[in-house]
Amino acid sequence: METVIQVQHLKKHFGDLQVLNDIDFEINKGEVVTIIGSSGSGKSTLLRCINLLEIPDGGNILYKGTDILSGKLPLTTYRSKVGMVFQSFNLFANKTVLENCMIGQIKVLKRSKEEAQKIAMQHLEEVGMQNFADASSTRLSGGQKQRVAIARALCMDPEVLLFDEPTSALDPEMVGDVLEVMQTLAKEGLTMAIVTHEMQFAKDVSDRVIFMDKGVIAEQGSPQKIFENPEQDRTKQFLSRYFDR
Amino acid sequence: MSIDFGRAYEIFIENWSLFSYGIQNTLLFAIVGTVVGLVLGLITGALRAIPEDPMDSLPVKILKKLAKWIVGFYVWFFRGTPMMVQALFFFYLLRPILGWTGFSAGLIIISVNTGAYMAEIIRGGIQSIDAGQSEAAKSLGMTTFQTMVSIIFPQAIKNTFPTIGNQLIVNIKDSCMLNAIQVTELYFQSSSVAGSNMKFAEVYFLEMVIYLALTTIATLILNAVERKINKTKTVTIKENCA
Repeated sequence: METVIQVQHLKKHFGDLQVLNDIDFEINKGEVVTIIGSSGSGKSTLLRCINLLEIPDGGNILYKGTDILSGKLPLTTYRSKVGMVFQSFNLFANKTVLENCMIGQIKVLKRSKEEAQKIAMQHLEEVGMQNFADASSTRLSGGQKQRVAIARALCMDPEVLLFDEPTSALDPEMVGDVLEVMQTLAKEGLTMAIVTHEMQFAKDVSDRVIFMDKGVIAEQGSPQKIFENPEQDRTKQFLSRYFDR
Repeated sequence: MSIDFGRAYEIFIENWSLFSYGIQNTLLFAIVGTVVGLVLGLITGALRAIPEDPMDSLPVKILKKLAKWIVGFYVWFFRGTPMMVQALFFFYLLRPILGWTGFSAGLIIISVNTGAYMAEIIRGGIQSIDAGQSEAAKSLGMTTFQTMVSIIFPQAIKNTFPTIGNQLIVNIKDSCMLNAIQVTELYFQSSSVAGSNMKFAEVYFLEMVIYLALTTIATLILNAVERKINKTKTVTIKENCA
């Protein structure tokens, strides 16, 4: 199996707080990896480090074998291959839905306007937002925004898509729509790394689950192993809060 | 103490060509100063607002620091001294080298002066935009320059438009200080009219009315533009059937 992202001995601290402490893991092609853990365990920071929105203090991140911190691969090229979907959507407020999906293609991938528009419409259709193409991005509901954000990321033909708590800012009735889109993408074989608090979703969709606690990977394995037979006490403790209600 | 309004009207008609020439120049200086100042402000404001990136190489880090320092000095100096003194100082300082007229010196001074105010306006506008906007642009692989031009500037200008427009109003009035370097704007022209017929109160009354008319028209235009900018595209949103 081809490894897309390889994280080695990753370290990150904010001031005195060691947020990530010697993290090792990889994301393989076609794999869906979910990262769970309590707030403050370092999940989001880990994801943001992979996209270099946070710069690690130590360790390496390899993209298909190339160290992205070495400067051998231009940062913009790397980022265009690694898509990101944010908790707060971050749609460009000065652009329409369609323009949100086109700008990266035109500016970064140098696609023609016609081609970019065609691809954007395909992905908007995939997330069920084609009828909103000309709407201002500020006028949408949270769930609609997040689906557009997913389409925007897909337009770049990413090798891997990172999701940073994509449903945490949504009203409960919107969560289902977004998870449904993500589930479809997972089935289609898109490589994904997802930080989430949706345990049932993690259980259903993941090939591998990583449980993080206090800046380290406490346990990882198949969803069956993590959710049904966790080895670590802290994993059990964390999961009991979700499932023993 | 009295103003002869009839006489004022006569003076206005008799000297219309002088007044209209002054009005033209006042508007020219105000508009050029504001537009060029805005461009300068976008560049300098952006330089001041760009955060340091730990991924930058050492020369880039040094350049950024240096740029911030230079912009800081620019804003400090041009906001901290009167435009009239700046005009006189730079006009005489550079005249032997550039051989410039008061007219071209005035255009440059008012632009550079406005740029210092715009730098602060734009910096505030940039900093008020949610960090997620540039993070999203970065995550698509856009460069800092592309992000600034396509995402950040349009939003910063929209958010600060009332303040930017205010600079045009300020410039319509403050361009009068350029009379010190012989720019034949409205104040300069009015003063020559007043000097020639000795009706000071009448002429300065006329001048105030003209300034008020100019600033009122400018305000109305700015308000109309602002309404247009703020009107977000409304589309009939069809509930999707998928």
